[in-house]
Amino acid sequence: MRSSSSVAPRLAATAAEAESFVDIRNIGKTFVARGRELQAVDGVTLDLKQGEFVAVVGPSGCGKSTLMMMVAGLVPPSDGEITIKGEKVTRPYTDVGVIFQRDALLEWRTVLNNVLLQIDVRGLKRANYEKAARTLLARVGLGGFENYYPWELSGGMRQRVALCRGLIHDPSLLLLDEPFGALDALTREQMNLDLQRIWLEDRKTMLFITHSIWEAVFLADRVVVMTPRPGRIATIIDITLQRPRRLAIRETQDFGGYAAMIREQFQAFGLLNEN
Amino acid sequence: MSSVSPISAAGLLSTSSRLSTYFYPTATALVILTIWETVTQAGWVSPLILPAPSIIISTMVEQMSLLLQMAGVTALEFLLGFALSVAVGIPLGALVVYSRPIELAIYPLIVAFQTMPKAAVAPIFIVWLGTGISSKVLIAFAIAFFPVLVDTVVGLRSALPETIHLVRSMGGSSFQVFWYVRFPNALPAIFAGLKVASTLAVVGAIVGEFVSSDRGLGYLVLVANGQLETPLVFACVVMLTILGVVFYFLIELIEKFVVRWHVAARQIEGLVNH
Amino acid sequence: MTSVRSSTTTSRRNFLRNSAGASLALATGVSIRPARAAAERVNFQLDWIPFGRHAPYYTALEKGFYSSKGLDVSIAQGRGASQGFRRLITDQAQFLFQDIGVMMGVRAKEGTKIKALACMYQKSPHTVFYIKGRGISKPKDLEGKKIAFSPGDSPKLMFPAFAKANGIDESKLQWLSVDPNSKNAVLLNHQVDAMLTYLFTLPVLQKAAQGGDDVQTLVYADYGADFYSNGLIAKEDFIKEKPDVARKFVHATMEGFKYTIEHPEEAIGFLKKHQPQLDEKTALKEVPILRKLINYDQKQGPLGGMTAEKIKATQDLMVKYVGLKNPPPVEDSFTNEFLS
Repeated sequence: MRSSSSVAPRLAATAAEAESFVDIRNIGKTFVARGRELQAVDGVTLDLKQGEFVAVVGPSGCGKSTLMMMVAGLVPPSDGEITIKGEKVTRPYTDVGVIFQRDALLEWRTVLNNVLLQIDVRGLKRANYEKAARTLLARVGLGGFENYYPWELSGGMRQRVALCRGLIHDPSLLLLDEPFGALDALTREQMNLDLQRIWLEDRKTMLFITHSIWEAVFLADRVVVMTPRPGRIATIIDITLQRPRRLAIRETQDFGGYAAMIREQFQAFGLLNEN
Repeated sequence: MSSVSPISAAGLLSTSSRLSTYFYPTATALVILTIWETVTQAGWVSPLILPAPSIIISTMVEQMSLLLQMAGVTALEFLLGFALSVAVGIPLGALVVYSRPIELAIYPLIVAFQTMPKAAVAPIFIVWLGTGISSKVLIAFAIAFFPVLVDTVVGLRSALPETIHLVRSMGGSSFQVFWYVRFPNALPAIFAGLKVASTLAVVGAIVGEFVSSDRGLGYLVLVANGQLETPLVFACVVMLTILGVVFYFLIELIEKFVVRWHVAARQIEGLVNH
Repeated sequence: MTSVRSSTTTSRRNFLRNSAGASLALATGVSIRPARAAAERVNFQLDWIPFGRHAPYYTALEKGFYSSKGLDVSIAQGRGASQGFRRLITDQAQFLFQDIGVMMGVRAKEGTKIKALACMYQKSPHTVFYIKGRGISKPKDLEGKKIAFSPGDSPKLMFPAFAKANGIDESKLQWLSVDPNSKNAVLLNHQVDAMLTYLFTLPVLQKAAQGGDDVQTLVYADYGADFYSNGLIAKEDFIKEKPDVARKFVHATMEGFKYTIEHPEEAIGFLKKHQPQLDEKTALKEVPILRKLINYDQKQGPLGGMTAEKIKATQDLMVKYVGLKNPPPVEDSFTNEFLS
């Protein structure tokens, strides 16, 4: 339950990997808006081990989404560099599944074809992936909805399709930017359970951006807390709770302790003012 | 659970609401026609200015083969003009979106060209292209292509940034971003532009015929008017209206197939909001 | 209220006052009578866009010939015979300046009793224009050629007379409808072989002809289709109801005519006030043509007067060549009573 900056013993199902999978070295990003410079991210250094579930929490505007976009290679960093599996990221990284807060499904494709978009763009053969896509959809409870269109589905269902789309090509890294932020509380809890289940089955490396303290503690092996803009790492907390975690774990003392640590950080930033 | 959405499978409108969509316009038209007939038959308006509907209809029946022949000519003119505006407007729209230098270079010129009243420019087109069909096609094109261009630009730019990021992280090239995301997403807007353009193309063809022609419904309007045959003038106008309406609905029909997803989503929104 | 002041100021003031009055009336829905309650409002419909040949009417207006007789005349430009007759028949205009031959046809077709009160173009000025050296030199050469026309104007409506008088097979002609403002261009650019309009257009065409093109004419009157062309036309009902107005109008108009022929530059000046875009030199060239057409130097009887013989000849032409049926007695078509 102690906070630490990087290497700490943790419960991992896979064999210990000494090299980092995603290596973020002193990353910074400055935007120019209305003639003024805005520094979104400042000097972030972080590494993700293979198969690790890392959550990043922070207040609005702290640059956490920007950080994720830089890992994805969709936004170039102003300073520092990112390496994934030893290769420097200079353009959009493709061995990845990306899930945004807006599901960004293509309204003109059926559910199945939305999942298979991942295959079409990569130029792979559909026939080889169709069965896997159906299985994935069934795994998230959307079996039978393959021929529905996105506008016929609820928000939670759409996000599940987005999740399948991010998994169909079996990437080794998953980047999720507040994927459940637009959903109602109950659906959100269900989605968190589903995500945990999927992660436990495949052990993909996860970088999960969220506003929600409890969501971060519930899902992650480590929680990175970022400061308000310009975003820096305030602290990294190892979460040593047992897996698989059930919803009831949120009422335990250990859980509450972690949540409290993070909340105190936020209050140190001047947020969540109770006076 | 069936694998086809029950909403897509069933018709979206119940029988009663479908009836009411036809009832109101028909009833209104009948009321207007009755008033018109009474007023003209009573002699309150000179038949030189406004003939009775019954006379217009009988003229149409008598002259149907002439009207159809002329209609065919005008139809060819506006169809070609429309096709040209699509063939030029959509690629040009894509160019404007993808190339900032091109956008800066041509957009102001196009807007200036658009504000020029084509009726004033039409005689010049005739001088350039002569008095045959090409001048009418060009005038129709000149009037119709702007909405196609503008709506293509708007449509292509309306893609959600997340969808573009996604395709890029799938390793998609710029062309693939266009093909998988930007273009399909732009289709509803493009069709809106096409529908506007369809009506404008008809106007353009007629403007061209008014300046100089030897065939077509516009030509027939002028000649009939010149011979004080007012019922025939009106018959031409009715024919033109029918052509325009049919053309418009043809495009709507194509839209239904091509952007079924958008049309259906619009209808569902409509049902939910009422 | 007669005026000893300059008649131009009076009529222009009237014009302005009446337009202001009319706008105010429209805005308030109240009819405002001008101070001279006796002034009779008259709408005079011309045959075409005003050119040099229309100077007489604007002269009559500007020199106060109308207003001094108590007439408040507004002159409207026209777009051809059909539009003009339509306005006359529906009482949007009281007097129309149009072709008398066409008048006979319209009267037979519509059944409205209309009559000529004076004739200005006593020889038909309808003309087929063509460019020399391009295959046309006489009427029969028109067969197989492309001819530009404006739908509804009298040269086209009277063309059958010209055609039949010269044995032209009309089915062998290619007609092209052209917007009036583009007709000249279309001939001069060789996009058509011939063009129908009034003789008055000759100076303009000759001036604008390109590359040494020689513009030539086939005047209907010279080729067996001579009839009374444009004159003042009104409805019989109107003349019966207001003979004094008719007399005043015809007199004032003919005064305008006389003045124009005797003072052409001044007359063109009056015209230019209403049509500032006209070129005076070209417009001036139309006045001699006008002088010939109205038979100014050789007239017998009052200026603009008509003879029963020529009316009959016009009617016969309409019957023989334009298919006029059941012609009325000749006296029904004209009257000289208002000329004296």
